[in-house]
Amino acid sequence: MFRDSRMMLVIAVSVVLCAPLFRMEWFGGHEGYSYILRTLEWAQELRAGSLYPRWCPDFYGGYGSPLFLFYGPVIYGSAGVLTASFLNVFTALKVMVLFFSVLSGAGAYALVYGETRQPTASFFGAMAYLASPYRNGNLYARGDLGEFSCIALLPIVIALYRAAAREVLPGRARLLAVAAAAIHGVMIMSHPVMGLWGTLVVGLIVLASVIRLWSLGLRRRAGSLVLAIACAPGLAGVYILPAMSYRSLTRTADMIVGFYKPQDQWISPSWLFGDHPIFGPNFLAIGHLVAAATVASVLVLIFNFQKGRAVLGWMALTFMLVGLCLPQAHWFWEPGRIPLSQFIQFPWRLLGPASLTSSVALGIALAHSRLSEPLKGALAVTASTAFFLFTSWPFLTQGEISQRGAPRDPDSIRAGIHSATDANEYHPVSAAGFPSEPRQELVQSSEGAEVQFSSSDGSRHSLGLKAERSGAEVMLGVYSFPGWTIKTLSGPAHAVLQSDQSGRLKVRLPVAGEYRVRVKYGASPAGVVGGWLSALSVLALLLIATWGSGLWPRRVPWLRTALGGAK
Amino acid sequence: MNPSNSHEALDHAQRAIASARSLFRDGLVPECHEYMLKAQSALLQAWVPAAADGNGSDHQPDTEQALQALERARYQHPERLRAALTAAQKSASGDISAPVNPGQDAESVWSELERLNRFSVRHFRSPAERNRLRLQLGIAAGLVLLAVAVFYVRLWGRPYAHASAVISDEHLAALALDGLEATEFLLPETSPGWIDIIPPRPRTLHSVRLVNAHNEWYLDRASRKVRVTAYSEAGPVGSVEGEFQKFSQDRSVLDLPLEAQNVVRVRVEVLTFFKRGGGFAEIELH
Repeated sequence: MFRDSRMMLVIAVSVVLCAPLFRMEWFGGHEGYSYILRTLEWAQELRAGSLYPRWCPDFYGGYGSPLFLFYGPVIYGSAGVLTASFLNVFTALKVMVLFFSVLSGAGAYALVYGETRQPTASFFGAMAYLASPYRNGNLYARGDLGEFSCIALLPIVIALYRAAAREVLPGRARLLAVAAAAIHGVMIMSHPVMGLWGTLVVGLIVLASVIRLWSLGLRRRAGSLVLAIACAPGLAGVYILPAMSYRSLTRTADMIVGFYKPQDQWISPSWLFGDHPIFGPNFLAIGHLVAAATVASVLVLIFNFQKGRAVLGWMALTFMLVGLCLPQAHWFWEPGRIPLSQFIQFPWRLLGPASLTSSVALGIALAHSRLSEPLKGALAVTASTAFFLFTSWPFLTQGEISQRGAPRDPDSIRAGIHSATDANEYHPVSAAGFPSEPRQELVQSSEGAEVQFSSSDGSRHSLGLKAERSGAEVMLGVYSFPGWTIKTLSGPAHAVLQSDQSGRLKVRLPVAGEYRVRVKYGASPAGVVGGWLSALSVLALLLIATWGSGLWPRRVPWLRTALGGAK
Repeated sequence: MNPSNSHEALDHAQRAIASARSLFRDGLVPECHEYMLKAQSALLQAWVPAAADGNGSDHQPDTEQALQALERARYQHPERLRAALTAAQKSASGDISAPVNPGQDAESVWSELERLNRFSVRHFRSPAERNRLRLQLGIAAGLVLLAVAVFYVRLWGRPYAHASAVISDEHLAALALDGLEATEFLLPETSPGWIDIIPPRPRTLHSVRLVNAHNEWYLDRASRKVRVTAYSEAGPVGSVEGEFQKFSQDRSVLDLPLEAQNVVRVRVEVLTFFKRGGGFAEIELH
């Protein structure tokens, strides 16, 4: 599959679609410079020795923000590694976008190939997905690199789960399922909202595969697939659990009101085909793709139902996803109806997965139609490549913005009031208000104590304090949040970390004397539990991968029985 | 074992597995199982000693001889293979025209077949193939290790800097450590400030070399009086003050002796400056 010339062409096109990005200094998407700021913060924390940064120390003028606890870290985490080691932040993000673009092309090709075993159909399916307005608009118009990476991983996750369900060799099937779960975990961590909705889409597809395996009597195989997909959210536990636990401690409630209320973000069916009152070019216009997939599916069902019936499930998924974006689905997004569903903000985000499912349906329909032979020719492939590039072009041309407008290092970020969000949703609610100017010094004030020295390295602060009396206090210019810890390196007693009335950190020195303390942001209690959940999920996946291999000394009879095998 | 026969049997097994895979994709499990049994049989045939090849053994059936050969080749858990063979025999129906009944234990048979296939493919590799594979794996592992080492060194093997503030994004703190005297770190307009140098690990310090800034052709910024303080985890462990004598467009260097142990951070404070502000072209820790 990977050596096929059409696969190479798909990869080449996925690179070409990113070419305008490399020509620009930066692109003026809705997100502006926000990913630049996040990546710089991640790189700084990484360089300071934090393997999994959770705090943005320079946001809000140095008071900090727990953005990394909530916002999917994959894109700026990976770009952060490149920024901290080799590249400037702009190039690092562009390289990661290119990587995910190639991954989405290769993943879509693999997915359709797995469904059809036909390179030509796979080529058309993958090209339709690569050229879909939402995928390209998500990058160039919206600049939502997190969601872009999430829907880039989606096809490969589905392809791997489907391959696991179709593989005859049990060990290989388990390895495929484990790989699917691992990438699925990464997908969840790439964008919290689409990770959740993508998981539902993946879950429905895996459910269909599980039912099929079960009906064939392969219960153990079905069980291992269910176990694998159950481990995927567990893998992301280190991220999900703190995000869920501390959601109410930030202003995330502001994310789902006003402009961001999902009930008011429905789309008119005409916008799927034509212009949009706000967005131009209209990246929601996936109607032509869905219509083409529908027509092709109907035709193949009429003329070759036996082989073409596989399109039914994919088209059903497409219509369900598109239907949820229409005004008729207003009831579905009613606050309180489905937990967490409000955080989608824009139900039209579902057009990303819908683009994929309709592309897959189109590929399957072509594979089983009479067009599959004529489309194999070089001329047809060349002409269709040109067609897809031509239709993509309007979505690849967005305004260029200068790199000079963005802070280039953490010191520059700290010199302004930056949050890298529109709604300040990750500003701690305990903080009295938004700072009007950057904090100058780490230590804001003290009562009964003298500051001998202070220094900061990202979210690690070292302090030399001299308490002149018992109960002396030192107020820090840093927001309080679960995860801050204090370590007394030397001193007459253990210093205590507290929160003051304005929601900032306060060091209390119980008795008089000289103290050396280190205050740093690390894993919060929920983060620790989440970390253990992730570790357990890794262990479970390792067990699934090695089950029945020579690494297992003997069989486990009760488990075999439970999973439907013979005693 | 006759090598050519073994390879032929292995090829046959691979073809049978590929066929089984296609049938499995289409949901034809009994037919798939039939091909899996064919693959199993071919794999066992690959292990039958050469003397017994083709005409059966004088004393033992082929399967038993193959199993003994496998045990001699240190096949792990041969009892599992025997159990799988028994299950396979049970699942095969007597009527050759009817499809095979996979029974409930098809997965166990397939698992064991997969293990046997892996082992056999590995065992019957020619020395040249093995060497090539080892070389490829070695090169891949070496490249991965090299990449990890390079990333590690770039991430955590070099010093980095923070500053109290910078005048603009063209004069970041990192430029005082980039090894280029042409690029300069500059503090904001008419304000004192500091730059922290954080070495990759605690180190011993003997001296600090400061190369002064002058702000390219503008020639309007340079540090004058400076204080350098070394910190260990426990706090300050040494401090020294110095002064650049004059503003210069040429290279202007100030070497300050500073002996300190377990240094985790060096702060260079600009106390006064020439013209409009302070800065440094380079800071070197020795």
